[in-house]
Amino acid sequence: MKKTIYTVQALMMSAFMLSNYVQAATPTAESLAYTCFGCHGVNGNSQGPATPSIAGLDKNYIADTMQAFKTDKRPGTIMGRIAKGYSDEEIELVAGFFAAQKSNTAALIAEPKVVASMPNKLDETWNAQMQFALLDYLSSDKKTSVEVTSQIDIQTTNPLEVKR
Amino acid sequence: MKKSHHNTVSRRNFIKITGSSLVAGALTGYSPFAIATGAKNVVIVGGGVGGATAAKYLTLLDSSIKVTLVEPNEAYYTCFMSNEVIGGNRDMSSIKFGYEGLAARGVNVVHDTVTGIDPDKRMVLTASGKSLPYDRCIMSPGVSMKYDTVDGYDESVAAEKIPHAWKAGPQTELLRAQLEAMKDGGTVAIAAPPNPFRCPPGPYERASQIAHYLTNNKPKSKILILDAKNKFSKQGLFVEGWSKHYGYGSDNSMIEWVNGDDGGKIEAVNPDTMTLTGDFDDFTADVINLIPAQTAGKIAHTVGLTNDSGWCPIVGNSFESTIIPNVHVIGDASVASPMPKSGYSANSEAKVCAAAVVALLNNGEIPQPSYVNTCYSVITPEDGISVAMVYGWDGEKIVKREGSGGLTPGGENRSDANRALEVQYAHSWFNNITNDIFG
Repeated sequence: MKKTIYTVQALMMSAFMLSNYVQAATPTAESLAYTCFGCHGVNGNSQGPATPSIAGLDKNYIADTMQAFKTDKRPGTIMGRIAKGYSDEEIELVAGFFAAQKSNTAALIAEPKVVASMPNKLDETWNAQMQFALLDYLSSDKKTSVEVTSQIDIQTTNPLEVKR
Repeated sequence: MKKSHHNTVSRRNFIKITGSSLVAGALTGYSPFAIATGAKNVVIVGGGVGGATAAKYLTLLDSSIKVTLVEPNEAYYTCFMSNEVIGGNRDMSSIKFGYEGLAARGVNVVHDTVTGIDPDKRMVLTASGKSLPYDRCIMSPGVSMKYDTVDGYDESVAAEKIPHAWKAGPQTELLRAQLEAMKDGGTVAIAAPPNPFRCPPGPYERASQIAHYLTNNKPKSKILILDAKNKFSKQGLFVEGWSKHYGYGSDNSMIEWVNGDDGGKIEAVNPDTMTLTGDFDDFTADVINLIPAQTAGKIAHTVGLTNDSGWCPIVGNSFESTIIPNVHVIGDASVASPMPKSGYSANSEAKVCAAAVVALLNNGEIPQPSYVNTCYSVITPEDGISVAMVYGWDGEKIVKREGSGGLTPGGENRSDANRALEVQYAHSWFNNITNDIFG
């Protein structure tokens, strides 16, 4: 009799665990990605000045970058703290979402007239965001633990002095 | 402010119809894919961060839903970054947002005051006599001030002489004007509230912003933080920043913090003598910013959405009230712990709520949510700090995602570039989240 009771308990336990497992499903790519908009902009098109646009970037590049932040291989001001909150599967979903989005920068490039009417805008935006990313990397106290594989000219204009 | 012209959100697969509901549908003979006939009505109460975000995302996720947003004011001033206005580093116009963007998306924006609801007939009732029918109601009522916790304080004292400035607007400008009019060598008292309250790091960012202004303009002045608490959000980072920039801890510190045990809790105010009364001492100041204890926005109390705590209990994957069915509560008024009462939390909660409401109105399953909060604080124009966290849903409650989040690392060894970068990220966040909410 005792054995039967244990078996029933075990069954109930596993049913409970199973139901919890089912409920704790992986969120959709959209559920995950919508939470990024606060900093990276709607669909990953950042209004700047510093947070980079991530719309339309290569999926593997986004996923690799998230993984590098997650494992502290790439230093950063804030993304190291955020990336650790996501499973590998969730990182793939987020990367896929943003890779599929239309980039405002790309849209501007596709319209030469728009670019011609504001010749410095692309350069400024792109430069500033790239330099902020570089500065984020170089200013972190974790950078000594990172193997620098490419030669970076650190004598770029300090983007903090760029008036936006 | 720049506005994106590509401000549409991809919604494909956002509402995931799960395998189990397909099985249930087959067994019971109804299809979870069927769109119910007749337009569904969602009425949103409150056009702050939570309410405006929910309105926008409802239109994006299901354009068949008729969305009505009821908000008394024609414009919203964000609480976040209003401390920069008080410190003189930002114009009031830059934190002002209208509802044109939402109206252009098809949201019916009604400028009116909600006086109650009829949960049986599912009606939202307004001061002008409207009865707005809803299938689901989303309340984003924010906070209200518990003036009765401080003798001598009330709404008119706050509006005219002793601002709390804890809802951005005229009191933000009043506090700024008082600082500008104050003599060099004056004392600014900031009375910080007990937990829980809107924007936990806010009083200390405010002290930082005022200290920056005074350092450059009235350097003989002092700031007295009178706190109901013995510790506060990002305390280590603030103290480090205050030490570095404002001499905190030295004999010549501009900022002094009095904790609750040492008599920082304020029991009374006398606006005529500009005196605050604590448990042990009276404090006289030239400018007083008195931030009282807080509770859920008044309408939440009126309609009975609050429990004994004075806040609104909800189910964290839908934000549906555990007290009144078909009514959801998001933002500062809800009990969404471990998420803090912040603008980013309200924005994140609103998206989860909108997705759940769309699923519920279409007989689908509530999607598995994901939530994020990041709070930036600006200590000087070249020194920012932050706290961040990713949250998930474990089937019963909102939980912190293991390993994620935390404070700006580095302590006193942070480089100047790193400090300056966080300010730029803070401003980027402001630009992006306001575009996400109102754009």
